[in-house]
Order: sequence, then C-alpha cells, then structure tokens
Amino acid sequence: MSDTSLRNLLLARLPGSGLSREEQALLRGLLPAAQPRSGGRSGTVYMRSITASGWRGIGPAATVRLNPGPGLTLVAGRNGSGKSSFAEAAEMALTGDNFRWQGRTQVWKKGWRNLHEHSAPEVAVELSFDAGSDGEGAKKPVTVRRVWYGEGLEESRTVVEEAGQPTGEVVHDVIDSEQLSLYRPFLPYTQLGAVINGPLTTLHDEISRILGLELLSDADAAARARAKTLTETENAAKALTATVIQELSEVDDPRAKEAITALSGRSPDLDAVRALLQGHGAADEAHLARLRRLADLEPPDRPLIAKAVTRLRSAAAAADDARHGSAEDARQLIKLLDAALEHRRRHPDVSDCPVCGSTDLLDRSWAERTRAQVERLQTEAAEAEAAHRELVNAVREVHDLMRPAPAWLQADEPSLAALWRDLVACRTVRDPRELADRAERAEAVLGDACDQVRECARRRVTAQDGRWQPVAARLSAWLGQAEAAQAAKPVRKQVKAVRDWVRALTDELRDARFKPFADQSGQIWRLLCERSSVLLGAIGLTGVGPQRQVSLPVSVDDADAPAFGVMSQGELHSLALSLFIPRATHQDSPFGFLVIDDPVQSMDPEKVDGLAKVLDLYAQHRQVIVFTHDTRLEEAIQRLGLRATVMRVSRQTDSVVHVSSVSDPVSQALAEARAIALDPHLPPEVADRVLPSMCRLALEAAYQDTARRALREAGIGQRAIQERVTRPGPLTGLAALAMGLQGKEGRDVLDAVARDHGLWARELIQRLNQASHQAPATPLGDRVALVNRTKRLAKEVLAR
Amino acid sequence: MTTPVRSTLVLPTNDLLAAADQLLNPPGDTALSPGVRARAAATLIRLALDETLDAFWRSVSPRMTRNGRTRMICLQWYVSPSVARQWYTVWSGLSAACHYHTYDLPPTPAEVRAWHQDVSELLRLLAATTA
Repeated sequence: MSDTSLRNLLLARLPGSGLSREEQALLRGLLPAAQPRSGGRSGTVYMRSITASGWRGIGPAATVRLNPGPGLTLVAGRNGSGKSSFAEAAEMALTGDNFRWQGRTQVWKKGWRNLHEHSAPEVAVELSFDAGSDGEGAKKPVTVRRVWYGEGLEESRTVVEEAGQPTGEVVHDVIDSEQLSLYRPFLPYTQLGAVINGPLTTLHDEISRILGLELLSDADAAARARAKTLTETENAAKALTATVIQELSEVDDPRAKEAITALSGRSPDLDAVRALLQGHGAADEAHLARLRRLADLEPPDRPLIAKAVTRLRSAAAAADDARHGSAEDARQLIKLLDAALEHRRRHPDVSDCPVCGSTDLLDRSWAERTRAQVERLQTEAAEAEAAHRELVNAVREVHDLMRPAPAWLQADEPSLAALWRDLVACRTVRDPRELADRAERAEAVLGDACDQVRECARRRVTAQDGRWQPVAARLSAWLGQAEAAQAAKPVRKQVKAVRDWVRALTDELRDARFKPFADQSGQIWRLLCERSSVLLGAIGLTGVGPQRQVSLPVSVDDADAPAFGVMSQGELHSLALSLFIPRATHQDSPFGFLVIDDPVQSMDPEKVDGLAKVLDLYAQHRQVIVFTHDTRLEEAIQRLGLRATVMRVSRQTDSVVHVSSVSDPVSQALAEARAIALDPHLPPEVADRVLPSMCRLALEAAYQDTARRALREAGIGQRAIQERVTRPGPLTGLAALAMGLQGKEGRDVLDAVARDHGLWARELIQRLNQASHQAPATPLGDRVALVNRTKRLAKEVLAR
Repeated sequence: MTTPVRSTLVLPTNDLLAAADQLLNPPGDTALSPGVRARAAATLIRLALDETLDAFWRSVSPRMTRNGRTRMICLQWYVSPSVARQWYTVWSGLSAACHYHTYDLPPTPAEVRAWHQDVSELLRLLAATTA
C-alpha cells in the first residue's frame, strides 16, 4: 500500500478514533508531509536477458535469454561453468553491489575480473516494463549496462540504453535501488545463510518496511519527539522550581517568603507569583508599603517655619515699640487738638482757651505748632497700628504652619506622631514670644526625627529592592517556564492519546498485512519440509524497540525448540527461503523477477521436490530464474511434470561460455508425447486415449507462449496476460490470442490456421480436440507421425 | 515352489503395508539392523504399490506396458496428473531404494516411513478413482 493510501486510511479512521478534536488536529500536524512518489518507472520489471563479458568466469560476451514474464527458468551448469557469474552479473548491473563482495577483503574483491578476457569487463541486463494495473508504465525494453574503466570493482559506470542508444537516464531512474534492497529479488546461496545468521532485529525492520507502515512509524516518532520536548519542558520547570526555591530561601525579603509558599505547592500558584511580580503581593502591602510611606514622608517645612518665626519675633519687637495704648492716646489727642484747631479756625480772632481760660495762647503760632503735632501723632498711631496688625499676621502664619501629621503616621510611627502633636500644640499658644520659642523648638525636634525616620526607611527600601531585583528577574524567568510547563501538560496527555491510537492502528494493520506474508512463509516451509520433524508455527513480528524480532516458533516432536539449534543446514536454508521468497515476491514489489542462485545445495531429495513445487507455485505470477549446479532440480521438475524452461551453461577452455536451451514447456510436452509414441508395448487403446491429449498439451503450450508474446507486445500487463492465457477453454481460444484474432469464432480461427499453416494443421487441431474430449472412433494410426505433425505445428506457432 | 509365490501374490496390499509398518516399528527384540529393516520395508511398500497399479492397469488394458515413465504419463489421463506425478515420484524413489547403489546412501527409516505414508495415500486415491 502506498504512503498516500495509508494516509487516507488513517484520516478516514480519525473521526471514529475516539480522539478529541485537539488530539486529531495534533495528529494531523504530526503526519509527515506527503512525499511525491519517488522516481523510477512504474510497472513491473522483468528481465529479457543477462549478458556478461570479461566478468568472473565469463570471457567473451555470453548471454542468457529469458522470457520476460511469469514462468520458471532453470539455468543449469556444472560448478565453474559460469552460471553463477550470470546471476551475479545481473545483480551487479542493477545494484553495483553484490552480496558476495559485501564486507569482503580486497584480495577477494580482485577476483571478479575474468582471467582470459582482457577487454573491459561489462555486464548488462535487458529489462522490460510491464504495464501497471492502471495501464501506465509500459515502456520499451531498456538495457542497463555497467562498464568498468578501472582496476577496482567500484570503478565502473552505468549507462541506460533504449534500442542501443543511451537514454541519458541513470540507473536509479530505471530501478529504484531502495526497493531493490527492500525486496531483494536476488537471492544468492551465500545470502540464504546470512539472512538467518544476521540479527533478527534487522529482518524485523526489513519486513516491517515491506509492510509499508513507515508513515505510521514516522508519525509515532514525531509524536515521541514531541512528547519528549514537552516532558523536558515540564522537567525543566520542575528543576527550576527547586533551584528558585533554594535561591529564594537565601533572600531576606517578605516577598521571597511569599514566593516560596507559592512555588512549594503540589502545583505552583502561578497567579500569586504573577501578582508578586507586579508589586501587588500581600507582603508588599503590609510591610513595604509602610516603609515606602515613611520614605516618602513630608516633614514640616523647616525654612518656612524658620522664616515665620523670625517674622513673628521681629513683629513682636515692633509691636513692643509701638504699643497699642499710645496709638490710642495719640488718636484721642489728635481728636482733641483737631477740635481745638477747628475752634480757632471758626474763631480766628479769639486767642483765649475756652477750656482753661488762659488768654493769648491760642494764637497763630500755637495753631501751627498744634498742626505739626497732629501730623506727628497721626504718623505714630499708624505705625503702632501696623505693628499690631503685623504681629497678628505673624502669629497666624506660625499657627498655620503647625500642620498636623498624616493620619497613618499614628499607626506606623507613634513616637514621631507624638512629636508631631507637640508641634501642632503650638497653635494654642497666643503669646508671640512663647509661640516663637515653642514652634522653633518643636519643629527642630520633629524635623530631625522626621529626617531620621525617613532616612532609615529609605535605606531599608533601597536595600530590599536591591536584593529583590535579581530575585524578581529569576522569578519571572521561572514564571515563563512554569507557564510553558502548564501549557505542556495537557498537550503531553494529548500526545500520549495520539500515540496509543497510532500504535493500536499500527498493530492492527501490521498484523493484517503480515498475515499473508506469514501464510506464504508457512506454505513454503511446509512444501520444503513436509517430512521434517521440525514444525514451523505461525511466524510473527513481535516485540518493540530493541526486543523487536521475527519470531520463528519452532517445535520438534511437539516440543518447543530454538529454531537454530534443531535445524539442519538444509532446514535453515529452507527457512531462509520461506522468509525470502514472500518478501521478494511481495505484491508491492516492482520486480517481476526473482533470481535464486544455487538453492539446491545441502537439500535432501525430499526438499528438492518441495523446492520444485515452491518455484512452480511462484512462477505462476513471477519470472523465477534459478541457477543450479546439479541436475536434481531439473530432474524433479521433469518428474513432477512442472513447466519450466531449462538452459544449460557450459564453459570451454579460456572462459568461452556457451548458453544453450535444453527444454521448454513445449519441448517438454513433445518429449513426453514422443516417449509415449515410441513405446512399442503400449496397448493401442491406451495410446489412442492418451496421445491426442498429450499432443494437444504441446500445442497449447506453444500457443500460450506465442499468445503471451503477442499480448505483451500489445502493451497488456502480465496479470491480465496470465489471466487470459491460463483461462480454461478450447485450443482455438488460445490460438485466437496468439494470432491476434480475439473474439473470433472457433471456426474462423480454424480457417485462419488453415490459411497460415495449411489444411493439415486445421485437421490436426480438430482431431486432437475431438480425441481429447471423447474416445476416438477410429484408431490413431501412426503415433509417431501424429507427434511429428504436432511438433511441426508447434514450431510454426512459436516462430510466429 | 508355487505355493509361496502364490501366497505372496494373494497377500493383500494392506497386509504388505502392515508388514512394512511392523518392520519400521519393531517390537523391540529384533536382530535386524535399522538399515536392513528399512530396505526390506521399502521392498514391501514397492510391492504393494506395484500390485495395486498392475491391478489398475489390468482393468484398463491387459497388455499394459511395464515402462514406468509411460505408465506415469498415461496414468495422468486416466486418474489425475497430481496422482500420476506423485506415484512416479514415490515409485522412482522406491525403485532406487530397493537396489544397491555404490554412489548413493541406503534409505533412512524416516524416508521409508514417508514413502509408507505416500503409498497408503496413493492406494486410497487409486481405490477412490477405480471404485
């Protein structure tokens, strides 16, 4: 299943997942971005040929031609004939690497070059691309050629050619190397051992990758990373809390104590800390506010009071000089004198005093003198009055300056408040001198006291603020962390819920997707080891993390046993094949081919039969190419009547390798028919019954082969071809496919056969059809001639 | 001389298989080595298989060829390809086991036991098709 469809499946499951809206949004955010499908040609890849020259055991260029579609091909050859060189050439051409050289020493790596051929080594694989299920991807055959230009195995370059011309593509454009390592369609003998000897964790990972659940594991990894970050945030906050509490306990400040209380709870009181940092803490209110008030206390204005007192004193002195009484006297006298002067003005000729009766006194000079005296007296009286007024004002001013203390002072600083009251008490003093003295004294005492208190409060406030500032900075940093942690907590819970769900989904899908894999493994194992006392149970992907592995439940005679302890070498190889073949032939694999090099080694005859059955089973849908050094597999295939193309690789001196076709399904069927025809002891009635069916089989094989080729060239996918070609039906149906006459009536097809091959051909088919379906009315006649005619038609059909 | 031949001929295939079974699972006090017993059992099993198939072919044609491969190829058209192939596989194995080969090891009791199973199964299948 592709990344996209898995994503769609996950998103479709989300609404019913039981996750909250936030959790669903979180999961969507965690999904890795959709990747565009990486390059590579789509459609299934089949091999058309493998060519090598100067490579390992192969000197001059030699080619193995393959049928690019499902089917079993056996390439047999003695050890050293060069057959394995072909298998390795194919793998080397496509991967640039071969299991045989992985991790080998330099000496070993030098053995790849052929000793007899001195031209540049070269390996090439011709590939054909089947149309995918969507009809896309069918391409012209492409040759991937690797040419060595230097001495080292790495000193090679690969070219991609189409119809002999380089296309400019690199090999990765044609073959996805990642998928090559994922599905491993190349299976050398040495690797069969390694797959089991390697860590089962690796096998687990590789199979998991095949199941295509990376999207889920990626999402889980992202969720894990997110959860880790969140936990770290919370832990950092916790650690910081401890540190900050420690730091706070070393600070002598009521706010610090309050902060410790706020921080020490099971869940820290963030609001309290926030208030504290904004200066609204309760401790600040009580104690610091008092200090701040005292620091800002306004004492009575000393210069003003001093000035007022001086004024009072001088006013008092001036008033002393100009007594209030003398001014009054002067006024009375002025009145009297004014009246006398009035009298003199009205009676200018009378100079006698009407009061005392003295004569000649109230004359002009008297009048002048008296006028002057009145003026003087008036001045004196005004001065005395002004002094009096000044004194009254000066007293009032001093009284006014004796302002009371702020109301809070009594509570905050009672002694100072008492001094202040002494000052205010001066208001009751009326006597200017006493007032001046007392006011001066009281102010002096109070002013000094105020200064002292203020100074002290200021010092303390400054000191506390100086210690508090860094603590406050620390505390606000803590607050930031704590807020992040507080926000992290619910998210972490969401992440956990999301992970649980993703894991459950992963397990469900993994089990569902692994089941066919495990079933296939079990089937292969049973075919290979039918008679073994070792039973393989349902294999599974178990465990998580470092414990993850492929579990291989093995039992011997109903007793559980460790797989590797009880298995023979042949059984271990069978187990490896059981794990490898389902992987290489997985439905998502783009590789239609499976190359197995030398699977028969260390297998007993039973297992060879089983292997032949396994290969035949997979050859129904895959191009299975088997290189083998002995004839046991070939013999088993023939004995079991399995259809296969057999080629033989032989090597002459100087590494001249020759590949020849030994048999194919058509020649196999013809050979069996000929054996029947040539048996002189076969009763005619049996021969009449059997031979036509056998000849028909040979023709069917020939028509199938040609039909496959015709349909392939028409750009039809292998799956569809396989379905059409193996559909049961009359021989004319297959012939129609082979001749491009789909949908035509059997009669028309037979006419076409007669036209193309001659009347005898139509007659042969009709006769074989008839004899296959019912007992022949007439004896068969010359059996060998019938086989020969069949062979002739089969050859002509194949040559189409 | 004729009597023992006769008695062998009339010994039913089931008895042949039972005798082979006894050879493969001896009661305990037997002087025969496992290898000898395995080969003897293989002979008995092959005899049972041959007799059953001979009987089958006699019912088809009295003059049926003795050629094993031809018999196999023909059998698939009279019974079924899978039975024919299985018969041929077992028959080839038994034939090889019943003769001494310098290049091959004698059959193991386990192998013969497996053939015993196969033959029993084949006889059942053949009986079902001819019935």
